Amino acid sequence: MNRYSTDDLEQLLSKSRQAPRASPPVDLHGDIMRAVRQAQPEPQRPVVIRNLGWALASAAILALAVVIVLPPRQQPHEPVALSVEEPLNTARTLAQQLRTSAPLQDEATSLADDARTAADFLLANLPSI
Amino acid sequence: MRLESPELSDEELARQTQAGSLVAFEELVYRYEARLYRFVFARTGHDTDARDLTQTAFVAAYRGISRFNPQRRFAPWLFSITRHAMIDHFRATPVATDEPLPTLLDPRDPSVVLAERETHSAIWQLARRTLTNDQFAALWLKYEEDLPVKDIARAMRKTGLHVKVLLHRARQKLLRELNADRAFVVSHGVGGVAFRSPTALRPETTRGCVPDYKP
Repeated sequence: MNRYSTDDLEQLLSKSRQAPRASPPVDLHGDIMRAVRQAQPEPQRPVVIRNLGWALASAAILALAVVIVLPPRQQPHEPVALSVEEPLNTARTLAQQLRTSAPLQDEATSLADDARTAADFLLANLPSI
Repeated sequence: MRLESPELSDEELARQTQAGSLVAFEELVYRYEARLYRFVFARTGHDTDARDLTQTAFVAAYRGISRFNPQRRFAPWLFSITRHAMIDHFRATPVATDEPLPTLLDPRDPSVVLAERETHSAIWQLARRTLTNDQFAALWLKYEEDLPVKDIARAMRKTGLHVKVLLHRARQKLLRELNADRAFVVSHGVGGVAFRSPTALRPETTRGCVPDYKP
């Protein structure tokens, strides 16, 4: 069985160019020209405006590329006083918490003692209850 | 009305159109209407669509003639507009037809004309059925319009390399299809090459008109 080669196809396609060409419908030209006459050509923009458009578009693309590609500029260092202020505030907060928790701890210790006493009493008198 | 100076180039006519001459544009319509119609019809397969799209392309070209650069060739610019009109059309209506290409009156021996028309019609119907829009357009502009790759690239707004790749893939696909379909054989004298037209594309009534190929 014969197979077509690339050269065969090339010849077929080239030959098709020499084959009888299809003709368009006879009234096509009239239809086209009627439609064209109703259309208005767009006004020709001056070269300067055309170039300005391209220049603006190029500038916008360049600006976008700069924003995307370049690394963000680093923020300047904060003043030293500010960096010291933070631990100081932390220390103050902790001190306040300690002051608040100290009486609570005393109360807890006292309650624990009471509980232990009550337990001893109960254990001592258990047989008689 | 046709211009009396047929020696005027397309680009010069386009320049005159830019200056406001409708007669110059009509001459361009005379020169290109059949070419655009064939290009569109070969892809769509519908006479009505081909008429509408050809008309749309010319109107778009007339409206946008101010954007044409007369330093460049007119044909790729016009085919580019036509191709975009076709792309818009295909978004709404996909390709799905095997309607044969339109016929043309020819004074030669009817059997010879019929045989040539068969080959021409069948190869492009096969292309229409097999290839993508881009592949088909590249192949048509190369073989039917005889445009150089540079102009095809301009018409399709692609690089020359991309067009070469499209052409290569289109040929490979067509070759695979041709070799896959062996039902009909038409001895056609294309440098000794026999063309088997695809079964589905061959009208029943013309089977007896061309001798079968015997390897």
